[in-house]
Amino acid sequence: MNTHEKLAALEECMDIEPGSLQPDMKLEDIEEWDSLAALSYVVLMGDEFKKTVRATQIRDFKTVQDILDTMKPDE
Amino acid sequence: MPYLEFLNISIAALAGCTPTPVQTLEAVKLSIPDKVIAFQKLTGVKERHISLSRQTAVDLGCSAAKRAMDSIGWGPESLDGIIFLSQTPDFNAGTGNSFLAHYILGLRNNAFAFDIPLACSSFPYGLSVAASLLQQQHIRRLLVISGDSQWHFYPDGNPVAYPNSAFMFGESATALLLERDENAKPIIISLNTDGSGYKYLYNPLGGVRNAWISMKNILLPNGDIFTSSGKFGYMDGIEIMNFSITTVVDSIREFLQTHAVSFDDYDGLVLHQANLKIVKTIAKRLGVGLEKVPLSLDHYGNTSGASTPFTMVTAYAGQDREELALLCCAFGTGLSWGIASLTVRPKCIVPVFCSDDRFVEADAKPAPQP
Repeated sequence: MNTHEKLAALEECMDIEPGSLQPDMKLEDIEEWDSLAALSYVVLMGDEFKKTVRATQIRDFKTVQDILDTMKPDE
Repeated sequence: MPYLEFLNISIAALAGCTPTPVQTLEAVKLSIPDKVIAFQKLTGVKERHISLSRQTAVDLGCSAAKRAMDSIGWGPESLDGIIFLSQTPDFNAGTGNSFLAHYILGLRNNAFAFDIPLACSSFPYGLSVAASLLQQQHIRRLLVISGDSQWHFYPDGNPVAYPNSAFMFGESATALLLERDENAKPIIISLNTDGSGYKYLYNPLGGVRNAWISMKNILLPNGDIFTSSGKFGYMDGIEIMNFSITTVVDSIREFLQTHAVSFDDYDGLVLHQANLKIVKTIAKRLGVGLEKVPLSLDHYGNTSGASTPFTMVTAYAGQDREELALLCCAFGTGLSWGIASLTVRPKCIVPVFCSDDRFVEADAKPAPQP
């Protein structure tokens, strides 16, 4: 997945218009980044990257970029 | 891996009962916040049954038990014991629901009764305990009731007037009659626990440990703040999602591999109806088509411990087949989960019915004025 595809996948998780997310956006300003979106993100990470996300990791996310950084297979 | 294998136990009857009052999402939509509506995409619950006359798990469970016993002509004197799977006792935990059911149904005094207070994972546990007891020469017929009550979580016992909770849970109870049968097909069960996950789904103020606390907000072991509000407990949604779609899926895969079987060998995968997203994700990860994964949550909600056997009732009662091979998986608080491979004859399943019956003797009544 390239950055564009990752952003599109996150937009789907948050159920918002394609193209509305930018990497430098603060999550606290995005109303749609809620517990429901976080659950969709957890499922996405398992399906696409075979990764298990911990709740503590999600609590530490500050920006969209922080989420993007996790969207890759385990090294 | 402690697999339990039973070669001589068969399901004689299975019945499922639900309270009559139906609450549809459509009808409550206008009075609940958009956030809750959005949540419905995850839960998949379109309608649910919750008692408005304060029926308890005992009331619903006994209705189901009577119907199951009538369907095969088993009188109460023929039962050697009753196991009640519930986390919502009518009274205190020690005065188990099983004792009330023993009395209401009229079992012999030398028939045993005890409760297993498990939550959503209870079905394979109850089945394994009953099947183990049935290995005893003098125990031939057992009743296993599953059921939890939901209405009491809502202020004034009225779920219709409480708009901020998710439209997710419903009420049902099932009665499973088991007997020893030398011609039975095998039942294979695996039981699993991850006690470290106790903190992801529980009521931190529900028992003794924190009973001294009077403040409203408390810091939980996982760093979350829990605000006490009525009787609702705490859930770490992310960790419960991880558990359901990773740990549970891995266990089912391992179960299949160990016994050298695949989903081609089964007519259905019956999952605890946690929510639609979890059911669909488990099925997808296991590569099972949704036509093989029955749903009851759309019309009845997540009915907690009863939801796995209740889904067998809603999906398979009246099916024109001699028998069905099913893989059942129930999972929840504990963290606790179990898998049961079993065979059921659809003609032994009583179709879902509604009941308004209540055991009024035990109701509190105003004391007479002096």
